Amino acid sequence: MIFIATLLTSLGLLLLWQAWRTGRNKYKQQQISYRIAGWVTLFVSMIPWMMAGGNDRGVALGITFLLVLALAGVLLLGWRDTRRQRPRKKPKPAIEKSITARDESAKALPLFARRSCTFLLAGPVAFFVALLLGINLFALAEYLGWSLANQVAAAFLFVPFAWALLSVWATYDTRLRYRSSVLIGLLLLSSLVSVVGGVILPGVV
Amino acid sequence: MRFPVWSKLPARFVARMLSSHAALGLAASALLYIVCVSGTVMVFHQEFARWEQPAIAEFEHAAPDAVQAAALTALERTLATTGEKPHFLYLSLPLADMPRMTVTADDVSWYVNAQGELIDKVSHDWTEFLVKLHFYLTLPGVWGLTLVGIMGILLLGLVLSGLFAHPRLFRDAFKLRLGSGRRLRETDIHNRLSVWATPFHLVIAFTGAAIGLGSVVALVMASTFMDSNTESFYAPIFGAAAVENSQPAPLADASAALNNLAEQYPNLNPWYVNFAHPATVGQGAELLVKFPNALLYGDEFEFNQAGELTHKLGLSDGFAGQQIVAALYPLHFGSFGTGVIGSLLVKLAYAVLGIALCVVIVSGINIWLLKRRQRGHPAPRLEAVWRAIVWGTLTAMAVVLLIEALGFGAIAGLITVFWVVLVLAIVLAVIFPRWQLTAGLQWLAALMLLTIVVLHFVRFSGAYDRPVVVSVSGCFLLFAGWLMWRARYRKRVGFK
Repeated sequence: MIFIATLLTSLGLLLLWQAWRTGRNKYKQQQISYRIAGWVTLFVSMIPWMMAGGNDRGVALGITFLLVLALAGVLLLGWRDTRRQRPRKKPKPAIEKSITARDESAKALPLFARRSCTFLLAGPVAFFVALLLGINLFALAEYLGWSLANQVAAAFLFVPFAWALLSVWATYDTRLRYRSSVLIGLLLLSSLVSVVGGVILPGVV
Repeated sequence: MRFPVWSKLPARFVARMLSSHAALGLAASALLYIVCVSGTVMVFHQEFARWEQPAIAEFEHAAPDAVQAAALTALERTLATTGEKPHFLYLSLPLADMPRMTVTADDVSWYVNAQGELIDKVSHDWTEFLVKLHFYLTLPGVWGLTLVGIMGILLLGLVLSGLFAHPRLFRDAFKLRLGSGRRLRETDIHNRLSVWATPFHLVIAFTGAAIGLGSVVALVMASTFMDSNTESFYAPIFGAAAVENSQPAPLADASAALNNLAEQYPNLNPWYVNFAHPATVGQGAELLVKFPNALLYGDEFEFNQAGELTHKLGLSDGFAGQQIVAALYPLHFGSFGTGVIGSLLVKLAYAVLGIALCVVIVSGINIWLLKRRQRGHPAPRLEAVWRAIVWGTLTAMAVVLLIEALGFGAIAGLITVFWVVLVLAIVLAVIFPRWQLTAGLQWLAALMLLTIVVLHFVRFSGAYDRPVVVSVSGCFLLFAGWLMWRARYRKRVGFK
């Protein structure tokens, strides 16, 4: 069964590679067929993986195999590229920007303040928002009648994911005011929901 | 390959996401790299433990009577040494991928032979150092664990922002132009390795963040919902701790429990025997059991004084939350392979993917430094410092291993040595940015690895009939060879 699984996964990857190649040559219809066949084969290949290694473990094994195979394939293509003689473009000369000492010192303080604010937003603020959302999720799950084990698992898994998403938002390159207001708004809103929902937060907010 | 929605992400959104990706990457860079390098090496922690003490008896099945005898001996020995019974006593039973038995009473561990006799103290300081570095970044307890958890958050943020910052994700899926200019090469390496290994990066980051932040989440949740009883927060998943009652009682019969398990569940493999407050009226006794063909790390069976199995925790068939949390650990550590070959293949795959993750981190910062240079803001000191961190970490780890091989292996000392070597490399890079520090560090690490293997062979030549010992030493030699080749190659082609 493992043999069939590895064969199907390899075939799926090969079909995706073929789709990519034909796409480069502008054969659109063929590309779509190869692409669909590739993804379908990859999904189907998970069945023998599950039969061989158990439902969840089989999928983990299958995906691990796929990733290693894909990396090996891509590295092989990269190695082939090193053997190809390609005319090298002359590197562009570095753009020398004339920044005077005065410009630098004038910029330095606001830049430091801006970066400090971004750090605070992505770090402590995003963490508190994630925790508050986690607390609300825990309370909501309790209200919905989830078992305690599922409530704990939901909060345990939700907090890191929410913090990561919020930290992406906190560092997203838009106006600092906009980023701050969204995060602080979320902080206030989730605190309000916690209080209104009857959850008292000693030592948290 | 094209994925229309992805390839039509607005250019402004992509640019802003790229900025977020760069900010998170710079914030995480050095510490994340150290966590990932140590994590990659740690995949083989069992093999290292066997390599460090190669002469220990190995066997794949422990007789139940031998297990009970070892538990009793450890109990008596602790009582004789400290004057009181240990709070915790647990036995790690031999399995195909770790064919050794150990017994631990509080902080002291011994290896046990097939007859149940305690033969030698467990002393693998290099492996312990790796654990301290990867789990705690060598900081004390919860602080270290939380910092590593934060690294997991940053990595998760990097994966998510990286996906949205890459509209040509599918179009460039197989494009790796290693023969091109340096920036294009670094960019292609960064994008291809990260895109193809995205599921692995997501899983590692998410599980690492969840495990690392578990204590802090428990602290906050327990103070909100459980009268500040932090220990009780995870009880619905991992079970409640035994209630202490120090009245003396005979040690619960692990031998009978193992026999009962073999009779009732012949397909399951016992992995650990745990006693909390052993040989007291309030003792808790349980078997941790591995399930074949399941992703979870195991399930726990409680047993009573007479060795009757009384309760199953339910990690294998209980609530979904229990099953999901129990699967996090094998997914993070790559320990879901079964048998000697199966577990080795999964570990090798995790090592390959771990190396790819380290390369992605290094190339990410390289791209940022190259962009800076091309924009007319070169930072030679920063470039030298980054190279010192990348190669200094490996060299510092080799120094630690050498000191351990020489027999000066106190864990606190090893941690100090690691940071001193790394900081020294960084200081040298700051003071002398034009030095060929990379090649120097590579030579140093390679020579130390060669010395380590020679020392190990001289000390334990009798154990070189064991495949695991030969393999670990062989890997060190291969790695040393690669480092030397790289140091020479870089010098020859004149990279700076």
